Amino acid sequence: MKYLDSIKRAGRSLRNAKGRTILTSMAIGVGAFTITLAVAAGLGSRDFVDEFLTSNINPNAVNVFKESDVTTGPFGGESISEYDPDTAGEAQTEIGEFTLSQEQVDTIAGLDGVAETYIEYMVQPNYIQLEGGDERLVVSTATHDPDISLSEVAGDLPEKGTAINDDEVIISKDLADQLGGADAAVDLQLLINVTNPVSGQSQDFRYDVVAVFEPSSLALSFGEMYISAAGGREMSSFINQGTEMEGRYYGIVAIADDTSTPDDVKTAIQDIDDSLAVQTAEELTGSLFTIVNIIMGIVVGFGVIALIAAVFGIINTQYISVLERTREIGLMKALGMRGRHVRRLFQLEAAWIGVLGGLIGAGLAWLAGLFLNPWIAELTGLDNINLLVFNPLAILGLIVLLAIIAMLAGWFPSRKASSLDPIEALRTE
Amino acid sequence: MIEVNNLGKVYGKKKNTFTALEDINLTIATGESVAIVGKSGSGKSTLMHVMSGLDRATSGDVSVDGRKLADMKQKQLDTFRSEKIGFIFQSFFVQANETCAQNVALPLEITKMPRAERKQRIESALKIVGLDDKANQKAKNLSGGQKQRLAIARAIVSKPSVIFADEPTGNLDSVTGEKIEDLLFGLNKKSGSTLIVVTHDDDLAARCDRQIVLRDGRVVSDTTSSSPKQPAKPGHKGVRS
Repeated sequence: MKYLDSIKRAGRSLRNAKGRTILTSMAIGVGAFTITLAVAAGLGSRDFVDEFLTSNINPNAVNVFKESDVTTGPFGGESISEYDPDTAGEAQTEIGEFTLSQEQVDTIAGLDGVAETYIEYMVQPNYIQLEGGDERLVVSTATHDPDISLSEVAGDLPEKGTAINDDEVIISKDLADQLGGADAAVDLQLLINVTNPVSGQSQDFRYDVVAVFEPSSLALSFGEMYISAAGGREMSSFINQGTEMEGRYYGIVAIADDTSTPDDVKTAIQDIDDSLAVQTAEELTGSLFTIVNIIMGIVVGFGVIALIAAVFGIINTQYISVLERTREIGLMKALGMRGRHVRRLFQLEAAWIGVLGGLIGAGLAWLAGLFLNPWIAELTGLDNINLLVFNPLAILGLIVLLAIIAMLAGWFPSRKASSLDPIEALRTE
Repeated sequence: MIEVNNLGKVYGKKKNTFTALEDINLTIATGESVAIVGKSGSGKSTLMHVMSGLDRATSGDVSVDGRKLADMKQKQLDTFRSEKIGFIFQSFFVQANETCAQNVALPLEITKMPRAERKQRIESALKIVGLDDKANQKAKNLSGGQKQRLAIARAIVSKPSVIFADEPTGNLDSVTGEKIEDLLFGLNKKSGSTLIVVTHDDDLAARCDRQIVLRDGRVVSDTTSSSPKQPAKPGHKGVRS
């Protein structure tokens, strides 16, 4: 018997037992549905993380800190608070051990494969005050990172990838609201009051507020206020003059050039001093991928359990089918059909069940995605991102896999069919 | 031509044996119509199974057109049946949910006949049995007589040299049964294929060229009724010269 004829005959047999075929397929469909959704969510999350990476981090960047615990940093507590002269400046005395020396910074900047380095200035002002305003606020500042996606609320935000000018500052909408409103703040001068802890002297630095921003939904934004690198440098040198922090830095970012990779740069930096905490952009987000992979694995696991149940369903259904069709099998064998071909016929029937189940499951998952994607987008506020991404090739692969699994499940009943004695089978009434 | 020599068939093993056939010797000429008659348990069905290659003999041998069935491997035997043998059964065994054409296609699919040729063969087989207008109807919509016609179309579509009919009219009323008989014998004469009918219906047996009567697994009589050329020799083992 030709393969094509076997496939057709198998399909016809299933059509003749529609109810049973669909019910058995549904079991496979449940597994296929779960796995399709899990894979779609995995792909979607991957896209999301990728998007997230490129909107925040230069992929060639290598972050270097003295301590690995960079997220807590020297500053804690509320990001914006009222100025209280009694507690001002307390935090700054503990930070010496968290820093890199000028020598280390210079060595890293001079490494082969490093295109450029950025110093991360973190200035803790006593207070800030808007020109003409009487509100004094305490807020941490960070050096403006041109790779972070910000969206403009008021004023002129430089394009992504372009840093603000030396005499400029940008502030968050939250901060602007406390200072008297976003539109009012733009083009005014912002006063930043800092103190040198050794001399006890304070000084005001003034910068132009060029824009008020809101972090985009994808931004990894910690700061309420971003200063320019030059501004950071001048304020830092004033604050640190005569202290143990003079000529020391919290961290730097080294950018790998075209001849090198972030991993190479990381290795080179750790060769200089292995107590440095070095993280490539990839590593920084690697943990996100790990979480995505674990969750995806768990959901796929549930799908696999459903499939195992479905396999027993197929075996059972096909056994019943063999019993019901004993005379048909007997006739086919009497007419000279090879046992091998009888076996193939029943395995192909099982394969059809697998394909049908795969189509049902993947189809329902896809439909679910159509409804879930807008809903998730609304819930999370992430626009233009589909958290469920359906890859046609992956779905096709899944269906083929299900056909193979179903075929293997059909092996036991099909063996029973092929070993039937035609004389006995034809005697059955 | 079918030659049966010292054929024996024993079922079971060791002490629990049952002898279904014993020392059968027959020669059936090509184109002959033969009735194998006997009560149930006489071994007539077993003889048909062994002669058609569905079952294997315990002793002796069967050869069809010079080929010994005992020497064939299972695969060769399957091929032999699909090419040389047509079967018609008492309860038709047509697939109710398939169309007439699909039912008739089965033997051709088994012999891997090319599609174009297959279609032609199916059409002509259905035409011979008078079901050409029902080619695309499901077999379950057919009457009993039509179902047996369909079974006959399926049996002749691969142009076998021997057709075995096991109680072909057993499930039909006498009028319909007679029509089926007419069809079978007409085909036997026209196509020149050998027709072997297993029956306990004496009227049907009488329409065959020759009647072989079995009792307890042995041939008790072998008569040629309507052939003027070869008169029967009662009591003889049935080997015709």
